[in-house]
Amino acid sequence: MSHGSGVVDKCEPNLTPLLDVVLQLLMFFMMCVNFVTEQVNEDIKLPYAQSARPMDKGDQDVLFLNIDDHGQLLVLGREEPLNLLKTKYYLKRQYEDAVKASPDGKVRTVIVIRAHKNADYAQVYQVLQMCKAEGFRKLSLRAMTRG
Amino acid sequence: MKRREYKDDDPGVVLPITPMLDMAFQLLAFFIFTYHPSDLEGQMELNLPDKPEASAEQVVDNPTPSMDDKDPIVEADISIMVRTYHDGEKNGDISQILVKEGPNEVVVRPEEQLVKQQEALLKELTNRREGLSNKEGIKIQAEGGLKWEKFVAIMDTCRKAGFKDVGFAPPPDLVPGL
Repeated sequence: MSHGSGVVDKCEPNLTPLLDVVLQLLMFFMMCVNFVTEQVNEDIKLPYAQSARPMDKGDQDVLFLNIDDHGQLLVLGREEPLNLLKTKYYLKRQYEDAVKASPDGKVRTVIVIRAHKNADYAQVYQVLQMCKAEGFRKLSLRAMTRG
Repeated sequence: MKRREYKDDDPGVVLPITPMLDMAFQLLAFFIFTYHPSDLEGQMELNLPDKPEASAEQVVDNPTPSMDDKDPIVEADISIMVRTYHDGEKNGDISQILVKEGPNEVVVRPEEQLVKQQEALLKELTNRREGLSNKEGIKIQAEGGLKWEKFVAIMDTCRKAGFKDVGFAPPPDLVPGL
């Protein structure tokens, strides 16, 4: 036969590139999961808007405000939602921290409002007004771009 | 000499990749299934009017800012008033949309579905925008009980009609002092 030499060739697939790809994918998903859990509350169901544009990656200093369906603010690290008074105090502290962190004293923080679609307009409006009253000037509303 | 004999028979260090690959696949599957892509979210910018920025000391000196510092965007020749039901069944849904331009006031099909209301509103706004001096700004006023979803739909329609600066007016039924 053609294999008369008696040498048996072992067929071993090269797993190294596969492992590289898998580890890179793993790294990607792990980083994404961290990002999502830190800033975005999954319980918030956003409304749909066709005119919503993709998120701007250039904004470094972003403060996410998640508003639940009762109009209360959900803050990372706190189990209980904040009422209006606590929300006001929270925004004030955030503004003071932003002023301290800014080298020239100007606040460039972008407030990102993620309000539940069943929240009342009055509740969201009050949060917007509080942001304005505390000194924040740049606001952004989040919505789903496709259903 | 003895060493050299051993070296010839040494199969070398074999790194078992298979268990590592199994683990990696399991972790990968876990993260894929728990991954909720955030790029489905989009954003709509809303700029508040320029104002001298308050310092931290000023904020401390004025801990209770008044809520009567009203419209975030005030320069608009046209405004929309959105009313909602208070009948216990359709609470939060749109009952009426009013387009106001100066003394003129137009009701946009109050009794139809949201999609048709949006279409009618889009047509109305597109027609009116041509005659406006300020083609960028529009103000939306809604009753406090209107669902945020409906409000965003109206806002979306305004942006589709070409109004880039959408301002929020305070709800007429908002309890002051909260």
